[in-house]
Amino acid sequence: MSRGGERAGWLRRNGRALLAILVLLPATLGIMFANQWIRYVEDGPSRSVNVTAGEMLEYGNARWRIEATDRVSADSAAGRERDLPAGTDLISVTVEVDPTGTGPDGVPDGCTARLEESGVGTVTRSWSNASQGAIDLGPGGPSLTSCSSDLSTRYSFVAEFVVPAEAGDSSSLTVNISVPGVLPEYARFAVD
Amino acid sequence: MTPPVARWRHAANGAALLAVLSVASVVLHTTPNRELQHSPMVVPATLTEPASGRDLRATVHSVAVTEAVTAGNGWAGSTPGVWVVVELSVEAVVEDRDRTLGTAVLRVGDTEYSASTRPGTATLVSGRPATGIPLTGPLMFELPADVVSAPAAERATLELARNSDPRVDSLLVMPVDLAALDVQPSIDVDLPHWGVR
Repeated sequence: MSRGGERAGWLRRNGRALLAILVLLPATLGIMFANQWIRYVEDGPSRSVNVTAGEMLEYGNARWRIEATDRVSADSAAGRERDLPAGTDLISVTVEVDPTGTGPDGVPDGCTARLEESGVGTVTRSWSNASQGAIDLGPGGPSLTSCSSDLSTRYSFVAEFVVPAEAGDSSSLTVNISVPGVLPEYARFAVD
Repeated sequence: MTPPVARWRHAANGAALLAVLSVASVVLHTTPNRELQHSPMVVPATLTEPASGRDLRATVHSVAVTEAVTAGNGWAGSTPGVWVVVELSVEAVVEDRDRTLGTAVLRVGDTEYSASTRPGTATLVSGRPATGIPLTGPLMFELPADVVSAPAAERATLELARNSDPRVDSLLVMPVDLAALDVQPSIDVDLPHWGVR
């Protein structure tokens, strides 16, 4: 019997088993990895719904829109009024929230706003809302700094962020708003 | 009936087995153990030069040894030993969660001395970070007087990290020769403030 014939016979006899391995091995590896990573991905904000400033976005029981953005530096009159540390800027983002009639509950149960700087060649940095931040800003701040679960008609809040003066110079800034019940999806607005 | 297996095939199988066993043995002995897998990534730091880790940038301005220190908020703690007072600027590079310095340790020989929390908010150890904005202030370590003059104090190290568990993240390490510093009678330090120096 020829060697080629023997080999072909072996393949034919073991073909189904080999096919099973070819399918099961990658499937097993895939499931193992997915198992490890799914919790990490699903628990934090990882899927963004992107929109540019001015556009309205439906997310987490409400409609959101960036009304206005403002940036003052520490050595301006407005900056001195708010006790900004030297070398920093204050970015104020006015967010309009329309909580009526988009979901079963109607109002978002609180939200977290973060400012993120990202770009090619730069490390991604992020800042938390100044109302919970480490820097004590002077008087004159906004009355509403985050979304409220009590209000059920359209309202606005102002999220303030204290950033280094060079933030956003050669990179893009986005405001990321996440509502806890709707994670891992989060709303991402590009700001100038 | 199948022909008998040639003798050289037995020898070849044996040699292959030995080869696989030796490769396995080499792999087993050179695999990093758990401690190595979880070790922090050390970033060497020198006095007055900024050192950058993944999420922590720090510049140590000065190190002094003193018998009495008065903090910016008026706190003046007594000690039977000595105070090692470090003036430094720290900054979170990437995000502003938790505390600025979860790990602030002076290591002399085998012993770790954590930065004192006795002065309350007057030192950086209780500070909260702001991304990209440096915070300048003191850290105070309380040490026995004989440790500072011991030979091991010549190779003391200051270790800083963002998390209280420094494993698997950047750890800034600066060597300090404590024995070479004169023990001053007293020092006044300022409150932590935003900005460099």
